Amino acid sequence: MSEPFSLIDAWAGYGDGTAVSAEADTIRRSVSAVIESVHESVWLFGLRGEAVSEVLSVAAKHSQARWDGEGAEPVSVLAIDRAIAFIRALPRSIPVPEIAAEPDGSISLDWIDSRSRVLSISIGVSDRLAFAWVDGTDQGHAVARFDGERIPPLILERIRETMGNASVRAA
Amino acid sequence: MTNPDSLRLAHSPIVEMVVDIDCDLPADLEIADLEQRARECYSDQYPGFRRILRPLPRSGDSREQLNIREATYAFQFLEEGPQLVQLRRDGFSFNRFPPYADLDEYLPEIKRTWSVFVDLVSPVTIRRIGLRYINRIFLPFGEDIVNLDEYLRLGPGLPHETALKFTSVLNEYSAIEDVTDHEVKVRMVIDEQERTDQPLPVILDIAGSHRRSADPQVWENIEATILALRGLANAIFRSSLTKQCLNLFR
Amino acid sequence: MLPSGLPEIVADDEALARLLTSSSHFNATTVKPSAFLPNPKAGMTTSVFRHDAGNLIQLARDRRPDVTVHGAAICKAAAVRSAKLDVIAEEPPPLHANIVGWPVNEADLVLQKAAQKERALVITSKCKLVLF
Repeated sequence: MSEPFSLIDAWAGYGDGTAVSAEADTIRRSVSAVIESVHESVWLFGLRGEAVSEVLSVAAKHSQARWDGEGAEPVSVLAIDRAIAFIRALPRSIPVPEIAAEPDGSISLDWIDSRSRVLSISIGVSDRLAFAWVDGTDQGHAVARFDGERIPPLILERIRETMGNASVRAA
Repeated sequence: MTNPDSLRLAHSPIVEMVVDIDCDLPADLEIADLEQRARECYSDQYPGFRRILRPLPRSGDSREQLNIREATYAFQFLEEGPQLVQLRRDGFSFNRFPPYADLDEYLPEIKRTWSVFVDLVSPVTIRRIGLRYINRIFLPFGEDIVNLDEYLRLGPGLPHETALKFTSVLNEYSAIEDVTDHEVKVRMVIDEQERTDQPLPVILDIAGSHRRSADPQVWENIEATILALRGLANAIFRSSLTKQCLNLFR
Repeated sequence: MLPSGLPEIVADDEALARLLTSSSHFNATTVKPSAFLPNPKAGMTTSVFRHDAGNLIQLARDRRPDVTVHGAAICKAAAVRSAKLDVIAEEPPPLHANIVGWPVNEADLVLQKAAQKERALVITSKCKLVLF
């Protein structure tokens, strides 16, 4: 007899998938319908939808081991979930990041104002996010925790400082 | 002595109660590798088994197979009765279904199955404790979903001067209690009904959360948090429903 | 002297080419730090070639025949050293070198990653992007 298994949609929602009753499903469907209609609204969701699509696209292109010819790990499923949750949690006033795959299977979110003004965040299997920045002669690195719903204030501040002089595209 | 935070109802509307304990697991741990041991530990009382997958996005190569090991997100262990235990990549869950009496009765089993989880995966630290109640309330309406406020304090109002009738409702709010940092998310859902001659089912979903690092080995602190969230949830339940509605369950 | 004929010590003013095997590692004008991050499971080094922008396509065909190479990030060895890393020649293959000295913190791998990212950003801030 084949073993039963279920698939969780990557959009099911970070931290919202542990209830299994039919009523929980009704709630999920209703909320998903609202989220879908928000996502369809360019005004409400705008470029964040594109960034989420980019995460999925990058993950798909880097889903095989040794994708760099040197021993890189495939992008991890947990990193994909967390990256999507992070993008969805970005306030609308924050520009969307660029997406890259990292050799350890993490996803990198990069805010690039110029070659010497960059903030880069690694999203991996931990809810602790590694990030670093260069801003002219200023540079640094730190770690912040992302709970799946709210962007750490330290990171928001860094994004605003990095991209501050650029024209802000609606997120 | 009756626990003031407890709310015993003769006909409980709870259709699912979930305790979530989200935690950091050791970085080198793959959930899929624990299957054999986990089944041995839980199968006595929870013989049913289900694997939950979160698949990687496909690269477009039709020959690509789903990597079960990498995509395994959780194991669910099902009782023949109304309980379920989940061993997840990001924590532990305990689900209870009807018949539902009182959380105090289920805490010993929650503690026991949590201890099994701790022995299996050695969680590094707890990140979030959640307690969620999903209630299904049947309102004795006939054809018209109009006067929700006779029963529900969350209900939106339709302008009296119109002939509007609700076909479906989704209300959601989030709130935080400053003193304790406890958070809640409350949702009320009324789905579109095909038959208007039946009682109207309203789903009231109250999900409380406490996000703070905690030691997985200290059950007393976990239990204290769960009970505090229970008190909060019960207060929200009482204040979300009118006396007329609460009387449906007494 | 190495088999390639290059000196063993990589001079500060030598050009280094980091082949870009992922289209996500650059945008229209800039190299991203992910392009330089070492793989912790592969010796904690970053592979580069002692090569300037000339004839990169041939270099890519010879050294990475199994993957698509989109272009290269070109910088001086001095830029790597300004990030408090080093470049050490390692042949074969010819012209090959490794960026070494990435910060290690076994007690906190996330903090280790953050520190490595900072060094990678310093390098990419001084890189030129060459696309094929």
